[in-house]
Amino acid sequence: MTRPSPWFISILLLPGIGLIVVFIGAVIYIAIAQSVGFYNLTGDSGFSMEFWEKLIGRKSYWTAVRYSLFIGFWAAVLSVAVAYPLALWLRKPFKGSLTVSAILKAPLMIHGIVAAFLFLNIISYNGLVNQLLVWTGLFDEPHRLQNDSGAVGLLFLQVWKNMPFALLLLTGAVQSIPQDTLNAAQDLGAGTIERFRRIIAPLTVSAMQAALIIVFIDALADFTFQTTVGPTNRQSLSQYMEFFRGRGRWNEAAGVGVTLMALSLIGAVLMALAARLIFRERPIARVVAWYETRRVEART
Amino acid sequence: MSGLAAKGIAVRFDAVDALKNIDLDVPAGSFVTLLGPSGCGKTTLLNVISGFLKPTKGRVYIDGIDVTDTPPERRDTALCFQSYALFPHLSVEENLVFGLRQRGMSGADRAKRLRDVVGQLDLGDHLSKLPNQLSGGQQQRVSLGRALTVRPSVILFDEPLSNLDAKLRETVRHEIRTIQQDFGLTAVYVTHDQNEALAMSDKIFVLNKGQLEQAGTPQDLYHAPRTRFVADFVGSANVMQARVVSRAQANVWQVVTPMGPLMVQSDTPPEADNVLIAWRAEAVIMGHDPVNTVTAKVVRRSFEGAYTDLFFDVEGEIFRVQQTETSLVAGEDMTFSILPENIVFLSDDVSKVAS
Repeated sequence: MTRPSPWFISILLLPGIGLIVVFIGAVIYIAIAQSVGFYNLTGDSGFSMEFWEKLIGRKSYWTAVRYSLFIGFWAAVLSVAVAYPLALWLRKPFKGSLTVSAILKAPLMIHGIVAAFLFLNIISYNGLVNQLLVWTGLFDEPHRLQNDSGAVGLLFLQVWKNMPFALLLLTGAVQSIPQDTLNAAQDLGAGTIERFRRIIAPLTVSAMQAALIIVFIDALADFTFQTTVGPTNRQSLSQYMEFFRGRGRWNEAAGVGVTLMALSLIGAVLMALAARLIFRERPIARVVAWYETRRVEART
Repeated sequence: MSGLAAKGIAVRFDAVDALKNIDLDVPAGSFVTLLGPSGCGKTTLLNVISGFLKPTKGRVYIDGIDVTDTPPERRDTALCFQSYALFPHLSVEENLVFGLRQRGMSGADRAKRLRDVVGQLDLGDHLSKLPNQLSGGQQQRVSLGRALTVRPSVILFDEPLSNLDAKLRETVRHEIRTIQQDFGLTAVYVTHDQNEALAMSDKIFVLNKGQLEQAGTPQDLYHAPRTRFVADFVGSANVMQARVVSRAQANVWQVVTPMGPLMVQSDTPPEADNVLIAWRAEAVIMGHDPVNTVTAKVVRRSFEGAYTDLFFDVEGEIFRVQQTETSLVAGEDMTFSILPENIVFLSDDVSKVAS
């Protein structure tokens, strides 16, 4: 069979990929253009850095950037950290494993806003959690748990919602590691942590990267959870964007949108790189090994 | 007590007995093979020894220490896998020193061990390569080297040559045996290949359906099989029914077989009047002899290179004689005799034989 020409393949792909590129490209173009004064909905359009200057001059902007990065980073790391042991546990089928797997993936079927309201009710002043803590004697009286300033509730919800994504990706990856490979590592003296660090994580690093990127981007731009269960004294970037949009300040809203897109890209790349460096390339271990080899050579 | 010992090992999976009361004794520095067909329990026994499977009953001792409850990572064993199980993301060098790193060995000691093994296995040109850049034979050598670097008390081989072609298999099996002897390792080797077992082992344990059929030196098993299974599995002996007629001398019995009357010389008396006897296809003398002479018609001839198989029919059952040089063809009569000492009585009672 002769291989079709690249042009022919490109033409075949154009209706699908072309549309995606056009739509994404249009959104990015409009957002960037609007943030520098073009496509102004309420006045003259023209190039201006005025909106960016105003935006980056605001302390609240940088607070929102830091807060969104904090949520994105920890939601991604915690989701992957919770998903790994579950993926390893479900690696080999056992009685009831299918049911456990289905239950763990249930959050994928529940809409975020529904989950958020459910969570809010459970942790409310007279909710189940407070009742339980008072009943066990850990609390003397009910405490206000919702919208905590440390964003613990929000992170819990983020992990609950995003962990199944990570689990889906990681289950396939850990299942592809042959049992003999893990047995060989154990036979050579590697305990549970070493097997994870030296064998499982490096061999599943691609799935780990994908999970980190997906969860990071999703949590970074979260609006639903933040407005429902997030801290009331902080604003995420999506909230900040909505704040500007609600006041008809579309150019500044576009600036926040561009910030979100840029942070998604940079953050995702950094997280993926970090995962690869830590678990696959092991730069520190390589430097130590190189140093040891030189030392042995010098001695001999 | 140094070396490896397993006492009364039994493994049960649900309703299936995978291993039934196995006793294994491997003196330090010896090479022992677990031989048997697929599903006989030999890999299960290896997993019990390496610690990946906890026996339902019985204990495992390494150098006299009970290690039955010790997890694999803390047992002083190293396993060479059938699939090699090399770490695909690590270079050959990193694979080789993996076990040493886990044992917290210093860089200088690691380098020395690495040099020793690399020199022994001729892997010097491949240290920076990844496993998928190596041939099957080279991967096998890395797998062996990875186990050797940790210098275990017991080295275990789980059919390590089954993925290699016939020529390479022969080369590598000699290498394994040489290295085992050079390093003075205590080795347990699992295979279903009787030739491998006979060529490499100090002692062979033949397993069948989770039971130990017979244990002994390769010569013992080949020349004096005690059960029908061992006679058939190790070297394909001719096995036939016999009726004991009389005892001619202290250790000589006269029996009647479908081939006619035969004299059997055996130190072990027959267990009953009706027994099974076995004799090797190559252990015959062509032509007339004062005792045990048989004349039969050749029904098929098969040239096997080093020898020729001549098949003959006795009451509907096919038997075989092997000759290095013969001009006999199908349809011709052949006359041969079997020396009485080349015929053995077989036992039905596996437990009696194994013990």
